[in-house]
Amino acid sequence: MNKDVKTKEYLKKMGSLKLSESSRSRIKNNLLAYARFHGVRARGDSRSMKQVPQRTSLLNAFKQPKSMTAAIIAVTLVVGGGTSYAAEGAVPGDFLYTVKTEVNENVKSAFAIGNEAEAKLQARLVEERLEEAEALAARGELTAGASADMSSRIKAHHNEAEEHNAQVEAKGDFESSAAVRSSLEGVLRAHAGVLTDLNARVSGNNGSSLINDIRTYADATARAQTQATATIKTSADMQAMAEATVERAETVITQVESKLTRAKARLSAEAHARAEAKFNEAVSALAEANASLRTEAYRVAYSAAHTAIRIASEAGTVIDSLLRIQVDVPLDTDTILDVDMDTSADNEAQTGSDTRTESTESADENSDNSSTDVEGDATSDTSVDTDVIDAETETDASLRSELNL
Amino acid sequence: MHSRYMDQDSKEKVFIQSFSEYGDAIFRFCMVKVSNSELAEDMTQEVFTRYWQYLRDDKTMTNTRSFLYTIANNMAKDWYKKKKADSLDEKMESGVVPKDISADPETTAEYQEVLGLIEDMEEKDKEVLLLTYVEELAPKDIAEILGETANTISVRLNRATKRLQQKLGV
Repeated sequence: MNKDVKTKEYLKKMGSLKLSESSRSRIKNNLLAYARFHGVRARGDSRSMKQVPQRTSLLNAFKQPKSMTAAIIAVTLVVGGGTSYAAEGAVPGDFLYTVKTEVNENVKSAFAIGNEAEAKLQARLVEERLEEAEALAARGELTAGASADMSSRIKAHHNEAEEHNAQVEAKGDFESSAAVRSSLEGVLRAHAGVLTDLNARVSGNNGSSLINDIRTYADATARAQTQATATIKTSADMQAMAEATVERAETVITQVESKLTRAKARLSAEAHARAEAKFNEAVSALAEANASLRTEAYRVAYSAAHTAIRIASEAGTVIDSLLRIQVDVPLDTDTILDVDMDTSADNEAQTGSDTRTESTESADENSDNSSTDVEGDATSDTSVDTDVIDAETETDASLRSELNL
Repeated sequence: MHSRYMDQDSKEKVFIQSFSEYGDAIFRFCMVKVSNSELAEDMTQEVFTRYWQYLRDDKTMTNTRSFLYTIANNMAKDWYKKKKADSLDEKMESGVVPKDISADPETTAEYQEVLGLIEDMEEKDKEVLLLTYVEELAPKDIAEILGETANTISVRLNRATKRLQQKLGV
């Protein structure tokens, strides 16, 4: 027998390694549960309130000695991934919520390598907590205690994201951290708006302090970005980053536009019109960014493009929330949008105003003749793991890059 | 790609069909990468959940199988980095990485036989042997998955095959 054929036949034995029937069945069930919870949002939003696991009779028993946490984790490890995946839809007070936060999210963290990936993950976990808070509010179960717990969890994720962003920036990659912040700020403001309405209508105003905290975190995110942008000193880097950010903003806006179109039939005319108005603000910000690019006001273009991403993220998040919880809420207009939209293409530094663009524009002026102090990596993959920002992955090549989380 | 703008039910069907079709192959690939059946199962599940995120969001994938391998390969890279960052011994002590590296003996006897023969080969050689001879992928497809050139893969395959043949005495 030809030795190549022999080799091939020998190696073919490796094909005998397969998932056992029990593993296959377990994984299949887990995957289906996952797919149904993380459903096709804009059309038949399967991640609706109906599918958020409701409390079971065991729940009250889990309000809850801390020793139970270890027990739940132990049970999860013994039973296997099925429990973990069933826990994905849990909210505070649910039987499996501890599994979700203590097991599932730690597993996700184990696969988030590097500061950029960790920052993205923490930003995503902020969003997860916000969605849980909305689910509780929609059920009328957002108590003052639950609000305080949520706020503390969100703060922890927010701070951790910011720590990783700072590490990313320490290596000269300002674009990655900015991508995380733009999306995160939009998400925070969107959920604050949704929660404000639910809080007044359903939750008896128990969530007021949480909403204030969410806005505080959004403001802190905005301030961190202002400071980060102001430290970028090299105009050459600024140009590359501005161009990359504008391109990304265009992709994000395209995806939100698609989401808006698909959601039209499922939203009230008024809700859709408000979402559309928000979306149009993002489009205007993008136009501003493009205009600034043409006049080589790169710092202004960079700032405006991030504004576009933030507003588009906000619009996209609100659409998702409206579809998920089926409530009609006003969009939060308490943003720094108006300030950002003041960024003119003439690149003239503004003084005396406490705005994000003030510092960035001033820095832009100062930087035009400066030497390279910062190595910005404008070409790096800067996508954020959210439904909105992920939109840029339209080719296999970029998919590969993005998947290396 | 067929996933574009399908509804939930249709996407679920594509999703589960893909798992039925490629689940074992991805599991084998993960096993070659991490040599731990429990971890390989977890990785396989995670690979498919990431795949679902793309399917759900109507993102373009021209080749599902290559796409799944690419996810698995990137996850394995992450795993190696993490393993390097943390002490593996520490993890084993804490039970995060089970010491038992054997899978179900009924299904893996032959696999173990081959594994015993190639265990001292480099992981890069093992994966190219697996993808070529077991999964029957072409060098250019393997190159795409592993982020290498087709030429590099062909050279690696040739070298790995010769090494194995020496071991086999053929």
